[in-house]
Amino acid sequence: MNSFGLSMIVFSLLLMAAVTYFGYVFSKRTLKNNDSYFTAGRNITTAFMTATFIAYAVGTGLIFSPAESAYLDGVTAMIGYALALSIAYFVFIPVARRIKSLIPQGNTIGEYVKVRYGNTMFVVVLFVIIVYLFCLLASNFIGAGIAFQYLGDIPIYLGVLIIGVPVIFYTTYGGLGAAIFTNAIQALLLTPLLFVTAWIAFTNSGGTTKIYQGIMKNSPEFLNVFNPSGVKFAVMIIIAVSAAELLNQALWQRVYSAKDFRVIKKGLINASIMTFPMAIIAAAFGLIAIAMNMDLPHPSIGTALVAHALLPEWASMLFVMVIVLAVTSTGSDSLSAFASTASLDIMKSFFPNMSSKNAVKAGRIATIIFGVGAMLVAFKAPSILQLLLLADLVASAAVVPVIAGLFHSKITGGMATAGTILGMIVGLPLFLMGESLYSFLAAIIVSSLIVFIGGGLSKKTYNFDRLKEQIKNLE
Amino acid sequence: MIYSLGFFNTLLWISLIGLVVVFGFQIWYYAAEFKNKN
Repeated sequence: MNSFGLSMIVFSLLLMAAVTYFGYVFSKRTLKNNDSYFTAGRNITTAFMTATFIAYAVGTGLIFSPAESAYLDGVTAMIGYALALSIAYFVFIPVARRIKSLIPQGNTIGEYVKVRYGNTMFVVVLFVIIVYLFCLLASNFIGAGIAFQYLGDIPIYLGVLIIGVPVIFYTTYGGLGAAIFTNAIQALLLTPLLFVTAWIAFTNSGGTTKIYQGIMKNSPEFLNVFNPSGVKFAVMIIIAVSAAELLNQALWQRVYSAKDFRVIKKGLINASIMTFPMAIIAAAFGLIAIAMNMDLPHPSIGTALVAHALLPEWASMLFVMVIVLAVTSTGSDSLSAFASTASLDIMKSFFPNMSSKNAVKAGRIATIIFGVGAMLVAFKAPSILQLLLLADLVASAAVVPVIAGLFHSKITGGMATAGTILGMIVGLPLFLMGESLYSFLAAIIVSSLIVFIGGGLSKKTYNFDRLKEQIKNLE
Repeated sequence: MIYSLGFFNTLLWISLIGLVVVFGFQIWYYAAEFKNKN
């Protein structure tokens, strides 16, 4: 371990202690009943909603992956990634409106699927949600681990533990309320820190013109607007991220936690606009790596290594804090989303009369198990982008059947299940063959065809009032 | 077709300035919320 590594540990521990303390104190004040553990009191206002959507987006999916895509596929891929994050939030607005009006007292995606489609589709969707949240959490821990390893010469497991343990602690204790409140702190700190470090990185790399010239010299194809790999990646990532976010328990949970639909709409529009410049700036670090002809030891580490190479030590430490904040915000969001799925979907299926107090207890135990499992995977440090894409593929197969069920009364549980499973069966081999774009398209097209053709031929009509009648809050 | 130097510079600098705007908006939202609470 080098001296920078020692400072990384000290500052990260201090930051994590502060975030954990505030998360704990806030939770203690606001945990009014057991329902609020999963829905933060259903009273979240615009400022916090905006902050939590920003902080959720700014995880490794924004700090590391856009730079990785820019480094591997160029400027079009970078713009595609930034657009993907923004479009996903816009697309979610009409879906959020429908969720809030049909299921005002809801908690999870699973309970909606169970009432709307029955048990088979419920099991399939649970699988999709758990795989997605697990990949999301593991990829965030990996981000922390590799940053500690490559910048501070610290073993990956130590970096993962330094970030993972406090996040698991305060999310286990405070649930969604703790996640949203700490998101507010994280979002507020992230933007100025990212601004300062990016400004210095641009200046020290000789300015944006020099970066452009460096790319032109080393990889001119990456400046081509229609560079095939860049275009392919851009289209794929827009589809993948939009599909995944529509089926993301962390976002559904925020819909249920909001005071009303206006708050959700404002939060989503704000976050959609605000995450775009953040993604472009984070991705620019990948372009600087190309301009500097850097050979990256790990595909996901571009952002951190470029920052470390260009910034003075104090600014590089600020960038480490950006990584720590980004990882912890999305990490706690995925943990609290899993807590509600594990408790209110899985445990409640086995123990339908479980008390609300025991539901919270089950959520807390599940958070710890899930967090520890993700840390164990993170110790192996696979590519973050690949892990996120695998999660997105699984979500792509289920997204149309699940979301269409909110609007189309003729779709039945059998059609939704068949569409999702066949979508996965068709998409997965293509994904394993490296055809990521076609795998997403195949999964979405196959599942859409099955549910819409089936729905068109169906004579059954679902009564949407059943959702409101059967899905109640925990209390 | 190649991204021009002008487009490239504008994209990066507007995004950088965008971070300041984002921060300003966040502060403004919190201030409004604090005011409403009181």
